[in-house]
Amino acid sequence: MEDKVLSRQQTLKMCLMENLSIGFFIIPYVCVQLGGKAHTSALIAGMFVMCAYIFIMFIYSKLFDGNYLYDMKSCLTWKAKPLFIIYAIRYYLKAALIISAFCLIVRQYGLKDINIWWIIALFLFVCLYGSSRSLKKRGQMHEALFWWMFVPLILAAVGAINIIDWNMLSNEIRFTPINNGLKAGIYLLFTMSGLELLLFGLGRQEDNSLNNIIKIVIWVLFAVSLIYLYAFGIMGAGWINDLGNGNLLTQSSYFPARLIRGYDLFSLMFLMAGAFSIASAFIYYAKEMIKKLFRNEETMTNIKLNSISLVILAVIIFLFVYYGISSLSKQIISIIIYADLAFGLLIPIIVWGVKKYVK
Amino acid sequence: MCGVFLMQNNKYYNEKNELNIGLSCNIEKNIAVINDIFSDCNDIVKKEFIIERNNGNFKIFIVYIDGLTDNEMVEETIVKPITIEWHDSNIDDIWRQIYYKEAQTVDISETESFDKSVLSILKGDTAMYVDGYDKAMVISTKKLPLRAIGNQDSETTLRGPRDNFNEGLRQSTALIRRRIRDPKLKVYQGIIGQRSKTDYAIMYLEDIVDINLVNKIKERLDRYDTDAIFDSGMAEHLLEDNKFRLFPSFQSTTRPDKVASGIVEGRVAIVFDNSPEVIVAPATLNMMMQASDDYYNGWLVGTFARCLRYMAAFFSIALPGFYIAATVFHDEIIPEKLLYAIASARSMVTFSTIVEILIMELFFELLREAGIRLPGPLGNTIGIVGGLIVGQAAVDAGIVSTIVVIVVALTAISSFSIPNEVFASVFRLFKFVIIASSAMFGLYGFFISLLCIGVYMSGLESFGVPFLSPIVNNESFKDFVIRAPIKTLFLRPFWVNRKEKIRLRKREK
Repeated sequence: MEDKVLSRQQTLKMCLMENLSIGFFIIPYVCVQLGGKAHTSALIAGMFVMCAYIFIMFIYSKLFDGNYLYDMKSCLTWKAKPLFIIYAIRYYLKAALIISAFCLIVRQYGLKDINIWWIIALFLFVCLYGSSRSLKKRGQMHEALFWWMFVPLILAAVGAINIIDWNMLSNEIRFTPINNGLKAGIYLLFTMSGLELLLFGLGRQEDNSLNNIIKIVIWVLFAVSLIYLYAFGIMGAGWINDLGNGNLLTQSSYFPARLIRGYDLFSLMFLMAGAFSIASAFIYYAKEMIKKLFRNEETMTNIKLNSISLVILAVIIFLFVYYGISSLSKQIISIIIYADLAFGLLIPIIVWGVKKYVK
Repeated sequence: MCGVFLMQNNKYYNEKNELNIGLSCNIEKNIAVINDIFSDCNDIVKKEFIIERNNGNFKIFIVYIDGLTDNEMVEETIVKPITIEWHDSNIDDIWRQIYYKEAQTVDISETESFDKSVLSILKGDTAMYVDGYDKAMVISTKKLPLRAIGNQDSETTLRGPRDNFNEGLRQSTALIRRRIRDPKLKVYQGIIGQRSKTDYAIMYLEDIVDINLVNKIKERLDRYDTDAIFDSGMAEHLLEDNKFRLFPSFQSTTRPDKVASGIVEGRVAIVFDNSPEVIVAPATLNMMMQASDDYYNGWLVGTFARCLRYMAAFFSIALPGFYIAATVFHDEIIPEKLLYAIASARSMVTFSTIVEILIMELFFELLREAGIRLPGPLGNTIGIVGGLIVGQAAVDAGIVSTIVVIVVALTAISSFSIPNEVFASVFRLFKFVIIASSAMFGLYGFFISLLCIGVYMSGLESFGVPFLSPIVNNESFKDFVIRAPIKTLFLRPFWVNRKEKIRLRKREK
C-alpha cells in the first residue's frame, strides 16, 4: 500500500479543480450538441443525475480506503490488464478532448495568425510536464493554481446572473418532451465523469473520515452549481443558436469570453489553469494505468511514459482537430458515452466485490 | 647554479588527505614528520626547547604558522612560563605539570591524533609536542587576518541593527549567540573540504528544531568529499537534493538578526568559515521576500512593504513579456490613447518590439554586471553613464523607443526590490523565458510560461518544507503577504518540533 500523501485541503482542491474545469469545457458543448433543442431540460435533468453520480463516487471512494489501482491489480491479477488498457484509453481520450477544445478556443479568440498545431504542441507539452509530477506534488500544484481558476469562475457566474433570460428558459423547458431532456441529461454525466478520479485521490488523503468526505461533497456540489449558473446564463442569453458546427459551437459557447466583455482574453487565459489541471490529471492516471500493466513498474520510467503518452495524445488530438469531433455520428457518440459511464460505474463495484471475496 | 628540487611528499597521507601516522613517544620522530610535512613551507615557525628543571631536562617542540597566530601570546602563555618562570621547580609528570600548572591559558587541549594536531596548526593554533608522550597539546592562539564587523551594505534597512557577518566563523557564531542567550542554542562544528579543511558550524535551538532536519543537514554535509569550500554558496549547492534545481533551497544572509530570528523559528543555520553569508534552512518563497524591518515597523507598514515587494517580483518577471504580448499580438487590450503614444514613440524605431526589448534587457544586464565588478564610485558612474546617457542616445538614434526604456527601467527597479539576491537572479533569468514565449505566442505564451513557472515552484521543497508554503500546504497566512500584528503571531511555523508550537503567550498576573 502506498503512503497517504495528500492533505484534506489538497484533495478538496484537486477534486474541485479537476471537476470544475471539465464541467467548464464540456457541459455547454455536450448540452447543445447532444441535447439539441432539449438543452435546457437536459441541464436540469443532468443536475439531478449528476448529484446521484457524485454521491455514488463518494461511496465508492469510501469503499476503497486505500489505493484503488493497487486493489484493482491485486484482486483481478491478469484480468486487470485489459481493464488498465481500457481505462488508459478512456483517460487519454478525455485529455485529448480537453486539450483540443481549449487550443481551438485560444486560437479562435486570441491567436488567429498562428498555426493551431503550434498552440496544441505547447499546451500538450505543458500538460505532460504537469502529469509527470507525483501525487503529492500534484496536490501542491492544485493548491497553488486553485484561486487562479476559481476567482474568474466566480466573476463569470456573477456576470451570468445578470444575463439569464428566465422567460426564454421556462419556454424551452415547457415545450421539450421529458424523455429528450432526460436522455440529454444522461449525456451530461459524461461531462462530470472526471469525478471518477476521486477514487484515486481520496484513498490517498491523510484524513479519510466521513466528515471530510461530506465536506468535499458539499464543495463539489457548490462548484457544480456555479458551472450550472454559467450554462443557464448562456442558454438564457440565447447565444447558442447554431447547432450545426460542433467546434464552432464549443467556441461560441465558451461563456466567460462573452460574459466578461473586454476581459475575454484574460479570463480565457485564467481558464488555462483549469484545462491544464484536468488534462494533466487524466494523463497522469492514464500513465499510472500503463505502469500497472508491467510486472516491474519501475521499468516504466517517466521518460518512457511521457513518450508513450505524447504519441497516443498526438494521434488522438490530430483526429479530433483535423477531422472534427462533429463528424462522428450522434449514435457513435452515444455509444461511447454510455460505455464510458458503464465502465466508470460498474468496474469499481466489481473490484470491490472481488476484493471482499478474496478477503 | 644552486637548484632547488621540489619533491612530492605523499607518504604520510591516505586517499582522504588525512595523515595516516600516529604520534610517537619519541619526540625526534614527531619532529622529523613535522619537518617532512611542512618542508618548503616558509611560513611555519618551529622551535625545539630544552626545559631545565631541578630533577632533569626535557625536550619540547613548538610549531605554529606565522600570520595566523598571535606570536606574542605564544611567548607570554607558553614559552616564557615554561622556560623561565618554572625554571627551578621539580617535575614528576612533565605533561601534567605543563598542562595544569605552567601553561598560562584556559584554551588548551590535548590530542592523540597527529592529523588533528597538524590541522590545528593550519588553523592558527600552536601545537606543542613533549618528549616521552605520544600526544600533543594544542593551544588556541589564533589571530586570523579578518576584516572588522562593518555596516550592512547588501541588505540595508532603515530600522534595526546594522552589523553584519564577516569571514570569521567564531565572529559569526558570536553575533548569533549574542542575540540568543540560551544554552539550548547548540553549535555543532565540523570540517568540510579535503584541501581547504573549512570549518562549519550548524546552529539550532535544541528544543524547538525538528531534530530530523538537523540530522538531514549533517548527513548531507557528510555526503561528499570535495577539494575545497570557499564560500557557503558552494556548500549550498552540494547540499541540494536536485542538481538542476533553479531556486535556492537555503536562505542566505549577512544579517545576524535574520539568522537569529530563523533559529528561533525552528530553522537551522549553517555558518562557514571564510564566508560572510550564513545559510538557513528550510527556506520558502516567503522568506526570500521578507526584510528585517518588516518586523521592526508597524504591521501595516510591514504589510504594505511586502505587498509592494510581491508586486515588484511579478513585474520583474512579467513586465517585458506582457509588453511584447500586448503590443505585438493583442493591441486591442491597450487603451486607445496609450496605443497612440506607443505607436508614436515607435514611429522612428528601426527594430521590432521584440528586438528592442531584448537589446535593452541585455544592455541592462551588461550595466549591472559592469557595475558589480567595478569599485564603488566607478560602479555608480557606470550606472549614470549607461542608464542616462547611453539610454537617451539609444532613443535619439532610433534604436529603442522611450516606452521600452520605461518598461525595462521599471523591470530593473522591481527586480532590485526583492531582498534576496540569489532568488532575484533566478527571477531575472525566468524573465527571458517569458519574453521568448510571449514573442512567439502572445498572451497565450505569456500565461503558459507563468503557469509552467507556477507548477515548477509548487513542487519545490526545502528539506521537506514546500517552497511555496503556506500557499500549497494550507498553513497559516498570518506572516505571508500580510504581516499580522506581532501580538497575534502566537504560533511558530509548522516545521518546528510539535511540542514547541507556541511562541507568544500572555503572562498571568
